[in-house]
Amino acid sequence: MAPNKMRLFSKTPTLLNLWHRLRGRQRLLQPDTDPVCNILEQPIDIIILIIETMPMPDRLMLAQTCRALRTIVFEIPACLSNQRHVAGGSLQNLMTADEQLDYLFILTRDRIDSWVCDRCVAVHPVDLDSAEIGTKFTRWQTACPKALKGDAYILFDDAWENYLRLEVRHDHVQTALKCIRHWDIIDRDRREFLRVPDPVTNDCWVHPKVVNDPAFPAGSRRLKFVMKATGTCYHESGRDINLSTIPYLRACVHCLYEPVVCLLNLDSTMSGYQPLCEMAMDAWIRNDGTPTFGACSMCATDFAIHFTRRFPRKAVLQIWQDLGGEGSMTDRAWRARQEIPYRIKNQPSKRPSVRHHHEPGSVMRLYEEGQALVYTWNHPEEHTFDLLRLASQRRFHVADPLDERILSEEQHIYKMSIAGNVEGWSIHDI
Amino acid sequence: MADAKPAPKIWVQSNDSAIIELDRQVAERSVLIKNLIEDIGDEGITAQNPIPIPNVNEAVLRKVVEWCEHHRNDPPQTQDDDNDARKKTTEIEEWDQKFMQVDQEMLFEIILASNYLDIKPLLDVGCKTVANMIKGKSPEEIRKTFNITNDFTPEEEEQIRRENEWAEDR
Repeated sequence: MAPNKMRLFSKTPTLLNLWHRLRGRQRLLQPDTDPVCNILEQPIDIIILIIETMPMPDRLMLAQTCRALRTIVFEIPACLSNQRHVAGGSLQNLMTADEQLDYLFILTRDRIDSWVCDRCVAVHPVDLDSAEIGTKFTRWQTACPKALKGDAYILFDDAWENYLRLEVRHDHVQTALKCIRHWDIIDRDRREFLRVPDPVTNDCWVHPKVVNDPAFPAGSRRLKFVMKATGTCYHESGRDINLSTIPYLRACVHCLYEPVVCLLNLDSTMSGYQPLCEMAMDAWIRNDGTPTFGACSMCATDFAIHFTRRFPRKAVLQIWQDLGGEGSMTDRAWRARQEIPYRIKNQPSKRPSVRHHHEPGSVMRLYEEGQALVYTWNHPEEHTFDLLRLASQRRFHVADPLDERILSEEQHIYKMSIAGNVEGWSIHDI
Repeated sequence: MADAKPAPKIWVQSNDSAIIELDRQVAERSVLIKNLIEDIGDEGITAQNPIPIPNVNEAVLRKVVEWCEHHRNDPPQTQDDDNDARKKTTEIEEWDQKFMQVDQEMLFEIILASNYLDIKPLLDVGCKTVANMIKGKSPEEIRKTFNITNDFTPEEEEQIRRENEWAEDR
């Protein structure tokens, strides 16, 4: 420690001095030759101020670094929000369910074979053998041993209905990002674990990609998981597709297209319908084979629709989603993507809708311009237009961010059944 | 028409004898200096008779003055803002984030100086910056960040393991 270091500011003893006084020692814990530990050099009142600004999981992590900080966190009531901790007792009792998830997430950051389950607020091992190798299903399939019967854990499926219900779970993203961060030390099995699945069908493609988070300097190992999905919709009979024969489309959990609802204007007040409905009409009317762009105001999703010019005409929906970087499932951006208000053990109350604003088009640019850090499977793009140039010139259709009338799950199902009955089409007719 | 009156100035002196001139309004971001000026009056402070700041060196004092200059027009903090609300968020505004991009030693010196000079908003920003350095890190990562030596005995390590039993794979 520098001998002339100023310590005249406060009469409060420093944490180290107090610690050594308690231990009956005069000598500083770390000899002069050690690198200076600035945080332990601070007066106790400053340390407490710092701790008070931290969330509980971080306070408990700090308490596990050294004896002095452990004493401060566990012995000073303000540091535990006036809770009491008995040495050796479970830390779980000091945290809310959300805090427990954050805590578990931090603990497992470097445990490649573990993942945090938000359903039972626990850590489960990743079971590499459970993945169905060589199928269309992802190898990132993991299963919660305590999951409720009937829970679907399918990431990609080849049915249109399921494609449109495309869902990537939090642990898939986190396992992928964790493996990439540890790429140099993980074995071949785990690298395989990251392999992108085969195309879902000839008409439906999903392309995950891990890129550097542009908010951080290159090389900082701050990663982002982005994904592009492309779906082509056509009549097997060889007829042209048109506005009324496009099936139920969903760009994200908030933005969807139901031809009956949109064309008959049955429920034009539902904000989630508007972007895709307007976009489909716009692209159809333009009739030049180029896309119309849209963005979700609730979550980080961009999308584009175009109708091919060649006969028979097809409708193509492209979706870009930013699934975020490494972080707990309590992260706001992640929650914004959840359709059904998320529940956790012993806390069945519904959460209010969470919005995560993004600049329309930014997710698309991040995906298209970002360099993939690890192999992803590319396919030749069929369209010939310059996507990014067009995106910079055209208006993005965006749902009203202040409109709270987002459809509930029950309303979705009801609307879908009406659409099916009225039109009489099914997925296999397309 | 009379010329606009120049802003009243005051002078402070760091512990390494550097004298810094600053607007009174800027200096009054520090409650300590504000009270001092009220006690001894403007006329008692001159370039030849500056306010001594015995615990802060020139580099740190200039940094603190830079912060006060930028925030000179901020509303004064009330007692109500003082406690819970400010503690609940670790968000820091962009300018302050850049301002705090300094090495650890300087960061802690700024915290100590703002504590001594009684500049609560700056103290908050400093504490939140440290909290953000800890955020989301495992104990080992925190040790590396702050050069903390793990001095737990095997018994204490075992105690910590028991406290975390619920977080093991199951």
